[in-house]
Amino acid sequence: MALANVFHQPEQPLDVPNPYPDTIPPPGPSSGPAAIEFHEVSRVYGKQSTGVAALDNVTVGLAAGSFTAVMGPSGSGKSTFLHCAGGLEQPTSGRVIVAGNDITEASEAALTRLRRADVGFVFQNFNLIASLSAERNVAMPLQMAGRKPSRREVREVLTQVGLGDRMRHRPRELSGGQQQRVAIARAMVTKPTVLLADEPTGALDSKAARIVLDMLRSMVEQRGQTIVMVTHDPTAAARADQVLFLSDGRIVDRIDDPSARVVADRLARLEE
Amino acid sequence: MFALSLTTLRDRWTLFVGAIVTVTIGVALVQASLLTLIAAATADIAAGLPPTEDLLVRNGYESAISMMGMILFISGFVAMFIVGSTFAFTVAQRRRDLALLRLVGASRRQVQRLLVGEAVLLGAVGTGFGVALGFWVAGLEADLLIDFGFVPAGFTVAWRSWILAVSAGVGIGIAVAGSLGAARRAGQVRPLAALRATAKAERVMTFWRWIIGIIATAGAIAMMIISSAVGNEGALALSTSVCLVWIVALAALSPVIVPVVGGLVGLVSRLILPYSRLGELIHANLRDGVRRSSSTATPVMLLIGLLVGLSGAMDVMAAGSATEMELTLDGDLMVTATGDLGDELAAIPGVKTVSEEASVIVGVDEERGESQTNVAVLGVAIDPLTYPQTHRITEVEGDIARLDDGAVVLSRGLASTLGSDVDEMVTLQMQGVDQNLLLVATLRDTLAGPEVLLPLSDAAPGEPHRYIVQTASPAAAGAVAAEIAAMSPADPDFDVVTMDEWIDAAGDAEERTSRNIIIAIVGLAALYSAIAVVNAVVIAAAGRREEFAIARLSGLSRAQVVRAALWESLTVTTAGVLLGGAVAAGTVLGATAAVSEIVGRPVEATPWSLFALVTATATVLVIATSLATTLAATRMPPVAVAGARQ
Ligand SMILES: Nc1ncnc2c1ncn2[C@@H]1O[C@H](COP(=O)(O)OP(=O)(O)OP(=O)(O)O)[C@@H](O)[C@H]1O
Ligand SMILES: [Mg+2]
Repeated sequence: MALANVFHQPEQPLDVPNPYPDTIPPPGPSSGPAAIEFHEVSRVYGKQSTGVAALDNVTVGLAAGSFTAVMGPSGSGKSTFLHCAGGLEQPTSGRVIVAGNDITEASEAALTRLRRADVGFVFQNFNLIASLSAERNVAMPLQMAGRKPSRREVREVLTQVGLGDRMRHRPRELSGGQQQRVAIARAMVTKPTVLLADEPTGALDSKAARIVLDMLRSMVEQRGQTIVMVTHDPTAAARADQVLFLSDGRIVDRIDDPSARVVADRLARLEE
Repeated sequence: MFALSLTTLRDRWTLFVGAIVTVTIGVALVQASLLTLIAAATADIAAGLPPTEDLLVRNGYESAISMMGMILFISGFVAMFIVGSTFAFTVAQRRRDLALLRLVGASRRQVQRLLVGEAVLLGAVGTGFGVALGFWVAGLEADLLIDFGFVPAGFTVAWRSWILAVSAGVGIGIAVAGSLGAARRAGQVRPLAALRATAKAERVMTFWRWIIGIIATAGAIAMMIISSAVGNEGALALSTSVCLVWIVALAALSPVIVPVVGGLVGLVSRLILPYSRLGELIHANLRDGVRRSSSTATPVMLLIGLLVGLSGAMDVMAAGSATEMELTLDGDLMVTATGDLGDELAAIPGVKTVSEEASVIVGVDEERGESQTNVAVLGVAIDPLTYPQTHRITEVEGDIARLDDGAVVLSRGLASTLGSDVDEMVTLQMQGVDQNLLLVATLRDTLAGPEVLLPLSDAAPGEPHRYIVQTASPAAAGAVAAEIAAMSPADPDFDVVTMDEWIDAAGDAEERTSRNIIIAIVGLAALYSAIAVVNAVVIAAAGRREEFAIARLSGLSRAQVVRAALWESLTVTTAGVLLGGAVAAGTVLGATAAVSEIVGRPVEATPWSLFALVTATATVLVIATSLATTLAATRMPPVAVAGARQ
């Protein structure tokens, strides 16, 4: 896979002069359609004048079938970036395009459709429904989409994440790593175009983290899904095709084909 | 979708049990009251009763019907409230789960359908139990009516199959109505709420609550103004409605008012109690748990407002009648006898005046809307010469001295109901026979009657007569009483008491009657509210296992967690007591003003003891429930609980 190609600027260059010419990475050669595009996206909490800009005029495109890691100091806007990409939060200004849909002003119904078909989420604290078995948790998105999930389909996905024998267990009967794998199975079952993961390995030990990362990697390689993963762990980031660095709500750097050491160095400099 | 509800049932059964219990009791009360009402309305009255007795029995049924109507109304009212608040509470407790559903692709509509579907299911289950319980409650209500003498012994409530449809409609209806608002709001839960570890609590104070709260407040104030203007009996009737409207207003506004009152209570308790390390936590929890606080405070307010307010109003009326009797009766002794003692009594030395009278039951045809109802009215057969000497009465028109055979004196209220003026003829029934009588005078309206005065010759044979005896000097009353007692004729009804004793006994009897009526009308609804208080505390604690575990992981001991939760519940209960007390005070003050106006002298009867009793009961309930549930919720080691969800 041509790693150099996965980062690309939007098709139409925007006329607005870039106020941070030094901090925005140079546009890479464009390759195929982008799965996620941010056009001058800002997200301000509180009043426009006095508020905190969690995202500050971010313009970026993430190619379909790429695996992107997002890093940066705490509070730099990583989660906000992810939420805007998944339509969980509305940007204060700018436009967000996901899988070809402009979701900036999308209705609730359109966002619901997006969550059913195009976007899956995985979070640090798993977010499974405590009262449902692993199997039923995984079946939930299909059920919501009005499909009657077949036993086989669900078993298949759970088997893929190595939990074929734990279908009937409830979240509290599973380890943290197992719960995270159930959450990933839940995100996989609808075969979303884009998977958004916020510190999916944050609560796991290194072995469990490796299993989860292997799964994400294979989703990109075997199914061509697009993954955006927020992480604090350079080793995890090194599994991605590229790493974006956020600081104070801006993208300040990008590393293609990262290695753990380079990422750790870059992060250390950023956090100084 | 229902799989979710069913599996949630395993984890959060207290929520669902709580919801079902409220529906069950609501359905039982409404069904029982409706069946009893119909039984009273269709009861066969034994043939061959003497006419006066027949009239009394009919009137007993009439009172039973209007009382059951009241009970039906109050039960429905309380059920709406409690079921609504319980369902809203159960939805609020599952906010995070619902947000998660949205995150994995549930639409707003689906979340709403899930909750409404659940409400239908819970309503149906609650109806099932409610129908069975209602059968038993109907028996209870029938027994109450018999015990209190409204209906003759042997009164039974018949089962009617169509009531099943009504009960199902009521049960499922209130469950769905109660959950609709909550479901609509749950549909608006944003998926992001699932990600926030402590999701920002939903806005409890909704637009509709504001609207209802403001309209009801305005209505209550308007009714209070009107009642001070209409005066007399209209005001008395209004004061109970004012009570209910205030309850609606405060319940709707509770998310705003309870935290404020709770904050004040917390402030005061911190001034009184020594500095507590938990104070800050309790304060923060109160601020955060608005839904929880108002769900607990509302039934407490309902309990106190209804029970203390209405029974206080009745007490005021009883006190008013007693005061009125004291003001009206002018005598030293009261003698009761069946035989004619008039002349013998007058002959006793030291006796100045003897006035003889006997109670008469008169039938009156009252126009009520389209239909005419034959109502029993308490009258007194009197001697027009001595009566004015022993009773301080005020004629509005005419002259009581003209009372003679074929004549009658009426209260002004009754005269205007019958549409008759002085010197016109009125028709009354005596012993079941129509009598055309000349209205010779009208009297000022009073609380306790009598509404009809007739000549002594109209007294029913065999009816005991009362003799009001005035002595020449009150100091000699004791001696005169002894002399009268010495007459001791062979008469089982014969009795002589001082006037004060007689008035006290009459007042007590009236108070007993009004207590009975209150117990019948609001007793079950109050019981329902008390159960709802327990329910709210249980549901609240069940949803806080994680919070408690986290508090313990951050250094609190189990005892401290339990204590903090207990103080919090007590603060909220106090807020509910204060609000309910305010409603009750408003109701009692309104009634006091109206009664004082009628009696013409300030009347006072504050239901302090009842207030204290109900408050103590509510407090004990809350303490016991809070301790039990918090202990249960903290039984597991905190790590197990805090870990379980993540
Ligand atoms: N709901 C909110 N209200 C106000 N400010 C917020 C809100 N959510 C986030 N912020 C602020 O926006 C900024 C970015 O937050 P964000 O959660 O995106 O950071 P992050 O990079 O994910 O941090 P971390 O690595 O700690 O998760 C922070 O300064 C945060 O305080
Ligand atoms: Mg974050």
